[in-house]
Amino acid sequence: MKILNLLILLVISNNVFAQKTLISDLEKNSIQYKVVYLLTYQPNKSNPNNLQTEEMYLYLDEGMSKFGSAGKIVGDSIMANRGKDKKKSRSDFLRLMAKIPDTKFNYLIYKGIPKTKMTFSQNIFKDDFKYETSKDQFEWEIHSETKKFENLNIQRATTEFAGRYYTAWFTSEIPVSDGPYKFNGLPGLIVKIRDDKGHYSFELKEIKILKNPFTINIPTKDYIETNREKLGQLIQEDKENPMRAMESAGVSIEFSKQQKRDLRTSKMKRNNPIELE
Amino acid sequence: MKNISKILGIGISFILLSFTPLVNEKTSSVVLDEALVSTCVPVTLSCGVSGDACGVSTEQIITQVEYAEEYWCGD
Repeated sequence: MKILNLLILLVISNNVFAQKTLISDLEKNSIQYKVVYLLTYQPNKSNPNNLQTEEMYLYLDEGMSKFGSAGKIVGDSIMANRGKDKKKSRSDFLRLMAKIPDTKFNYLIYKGIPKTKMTFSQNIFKDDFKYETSKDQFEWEIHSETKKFENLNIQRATTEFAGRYYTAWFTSEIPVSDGPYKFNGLPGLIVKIRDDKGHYSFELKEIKILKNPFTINIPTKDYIETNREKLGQLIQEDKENPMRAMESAGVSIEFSKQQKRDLRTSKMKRNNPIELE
Repeated sequence: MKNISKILGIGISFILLSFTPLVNEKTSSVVLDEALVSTCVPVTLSCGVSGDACGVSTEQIITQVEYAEEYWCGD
């Protein structure tokens, strides 16, 4: 929290010059942010006592953004930058694995790539899928209610999305029309957003101005173009038969029958996705 | 290539360890998500590299295997 306060103070100062500089820089789109959200979610629709948490990252740059779990983003980065000319070894592999946080979310969401669009990518084992939708798919109702969140003034907005009703709090003090997951379109960064059942809640934990420039782009891969419905179906099929994708790719894992049952049970228990329709 | 795969398989069998701390308990083949007990299973990747993959859950083992596939067989 102290770090958050300090970082927010660095960004949002009452000093007029600093505000002008911040706003002018944002207008120039020259500031790059890393926003950390804490996701709290209920993986099983019938078990409200089982809430899980994960850190989620939102990278912001020049009208574009990239969102995903810390585990997915860190894992991809580590594997991409592992020094492919380096000799492979067990110790090197273990060293890399130790740096990757565990995650249950292997999707990435790119907003503004391509412009006015949003790209959702997810892999099922070695198959990489992606689909595009319009970025502007949220109809927000902005309310007059405001309050403080740390040192930020935040304002309430509501929307319905994919079968859930959400309350969001955004701050126009960070004039970036973005937020966690696919959410965007408010006149400020979404600081908190939660569905009315409390099944999915994102809350800002940290915001950093990145000193080293980076580029947000969709990695060059042999993506299988799909759409949201088909990908949802494939994910469901993978849950029902989790060994199939690996076996099709020529990987053999000698799970016992019980372990195979446990794997399927574990995957099927996660039956409460963020998008219900 | 076959010799390299064989050498890798025999000489450098990989053990994919969970970063979750291990608990010194006897385990059954049934591993609950909540239990901090590691189970290991033999794995052979698509490029022929083989070894043991370990994790505190079957899902964690799968994740490790995915990364192993990319690391050992990806390039």
